[in-house]
Amino acid sequence: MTDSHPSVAVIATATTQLERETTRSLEEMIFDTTRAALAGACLTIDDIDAVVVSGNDETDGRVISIMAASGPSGGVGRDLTMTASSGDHALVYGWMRVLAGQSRRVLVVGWSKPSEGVDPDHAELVEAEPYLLRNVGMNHTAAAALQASLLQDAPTGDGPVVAWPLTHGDLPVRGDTVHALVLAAEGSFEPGIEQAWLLDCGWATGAYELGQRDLADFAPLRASLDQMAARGIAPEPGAWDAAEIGADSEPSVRAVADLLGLPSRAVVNASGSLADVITAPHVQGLTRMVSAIGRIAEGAASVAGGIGFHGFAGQGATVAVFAAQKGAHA
Amino acid sequence: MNHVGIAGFGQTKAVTTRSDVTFPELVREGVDLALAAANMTMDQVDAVVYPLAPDALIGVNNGERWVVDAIGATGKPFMRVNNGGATGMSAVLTAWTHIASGLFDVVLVAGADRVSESGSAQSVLNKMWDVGYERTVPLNTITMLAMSAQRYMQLYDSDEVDMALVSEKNRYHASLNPYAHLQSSITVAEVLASRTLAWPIKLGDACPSSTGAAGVVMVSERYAKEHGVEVAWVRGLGQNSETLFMGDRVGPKHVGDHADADALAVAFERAYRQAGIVDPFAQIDVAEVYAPFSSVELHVVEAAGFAPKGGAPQALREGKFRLGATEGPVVNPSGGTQCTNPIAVTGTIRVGEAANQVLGRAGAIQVDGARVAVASAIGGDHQFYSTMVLSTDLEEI
Repeated sequence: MTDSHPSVAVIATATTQLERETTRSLEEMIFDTTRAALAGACLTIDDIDAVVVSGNDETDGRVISIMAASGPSGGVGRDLTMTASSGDHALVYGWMRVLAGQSRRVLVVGWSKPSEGVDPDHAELVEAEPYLLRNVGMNHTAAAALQASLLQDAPTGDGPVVAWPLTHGDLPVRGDTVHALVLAAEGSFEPGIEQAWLLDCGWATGAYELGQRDLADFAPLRASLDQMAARGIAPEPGAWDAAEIGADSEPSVRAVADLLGLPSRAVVNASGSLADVITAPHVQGLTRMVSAIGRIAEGAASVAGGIGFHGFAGQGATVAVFAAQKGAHA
Repeated sequence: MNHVGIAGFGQTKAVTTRSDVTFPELVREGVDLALAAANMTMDQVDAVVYPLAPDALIGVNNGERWVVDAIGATGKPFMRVNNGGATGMSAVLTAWTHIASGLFDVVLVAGADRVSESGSAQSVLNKMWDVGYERTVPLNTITMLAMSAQRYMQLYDSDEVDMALVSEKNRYHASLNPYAHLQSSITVAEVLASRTLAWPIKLGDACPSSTGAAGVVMVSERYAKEHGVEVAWVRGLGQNSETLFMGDRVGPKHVGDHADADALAVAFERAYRQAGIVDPFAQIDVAEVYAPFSSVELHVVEAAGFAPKGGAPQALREGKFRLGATEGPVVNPSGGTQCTNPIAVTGTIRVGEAANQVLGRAGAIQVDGARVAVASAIGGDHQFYSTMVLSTDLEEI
């Protein structure tokens, strides 16, 4: 990046989070949330240059879920792209579009509605390749337990063990979730309406084979942080006031917080524990990023990091750094 | 804005089945071929954009995660794009953004698909429609586009021979392309005599279900100049989207006519505006357009501005769009999607073939003197459109 690239702000967010949406279809949830985000920025869809969306076909029960989402997310007649690897990648791609000068205002919409699927557990199971992992019943809970078993930190959650050593209280709750955000280049919005500046993002994906990586090492997260450190644009975690971490279990959240080397003042997961915040694996990272934006918007933090993971035991990681001031350089 | 170029394109020979490789191994073949074409190794790649359309075609949810180890992308920025059939090209556009943002200098787009090995591709594709209405019709990609073909015939007084002329041209082109899936030529009479799939689309009008891999390596202008890399320059790009519902494309209150590809025309116009193209027929030498059925190519070349609406059949009869044509662009010299369709990377192949043309690397299907090329892709239910203009140099087009 150079000085010729614009600063990027988040000028509106809207969220729908329900344990189980019983009255609205996925399309209606996307439409309502998108409309709320646009209203929050005092914009209409005509003010938007491009739409970046993210969903998971199997969870949504649609072979190409961008098709059904294109209308309610405002994509018809527009440049529309789905980043299917993770909800947080939609935020990253929207940010890059503004940096590139390709768009001035981008709508980012990520969703997951596991309650609509007949069997969300089966949708997770078919994330496993068919030769070995699927036959052993791999899913996010089992992978999280394998990871937690390697961490020094003992689980502290309440309730019976779900997958040793993890209890219900250690694991994320699953629910119906839609997030919509408006990203905008400096100069394309009224100064002062921004909720936070998006300073930098790092993202990386590690080995798929669980035996090929040290699950306690969080290598994709380290690689993501290294990318940002090399650019030197955003403050490193040691200068953050808050971190919102969407890991696969509470022991992993604590391990990630330790790895980051946050200052003692930093508050971790102020929005709630994994068991408190309704979300779904595909958008868990985006959920935490929206929470980090919220910390900035409410004045509770000057710099906040949002961290998400995707895939079994955090195969991929994304870090986004938000700040109250666009000049919050490292 | 940073200029971006395509340094290399690689593809496997498309076939019906590949029982000798797993899916990650097939993807790896595409990666290796793309890197070899760019004379690079994976170590030089800063980031990867992975094209994968319906997971259901390979039977693994988020199948992109499965291939990371095999392609050597561990630890790199990696994201997947899924815009249905347009995925392979939307991923290239996403990679362009990676570089234009200033974050990266070298980005790889590579993937694979094994459509015929999914059990029933059309059954899978039926599940992309609305649960309550269109899925139960039952729509699939053939019946959907048969309705479009019927509407085109009605609106423009066209017939099945017009479609067969497209097939005859593309199959002749593919017979010269060593990577094409369908490599045998076909006559107009043979197309007309072939089995009807969904009238008026017949077997001779249809694409195969292909297994294959492909990839392109994209680089920044800075990287290309510092390392002396010859590239096909990206001069313009565009995307646009159409309404999901077939019912919104017919009738007195339609928002788009199913005979035409108006939303695609907008995507072309966006790319042309950036590239400075005002007369596509005169300024473009080669077009690699996404048309899985012969009927689709008719309205795609019209959307591209190579013929007026309803005018593509007459242009074909005049010998236009064919290798050796004396005026206007050659359309799908590779044989196009009609002859090779590994869905996830079909759009990547369109861009790669266009890049090879302006770089003079197209071998037996090279269009003499090709300097400016356009590529396009279509996804969803003829719903998502991507376009890109490429040229040999950065001079005015």
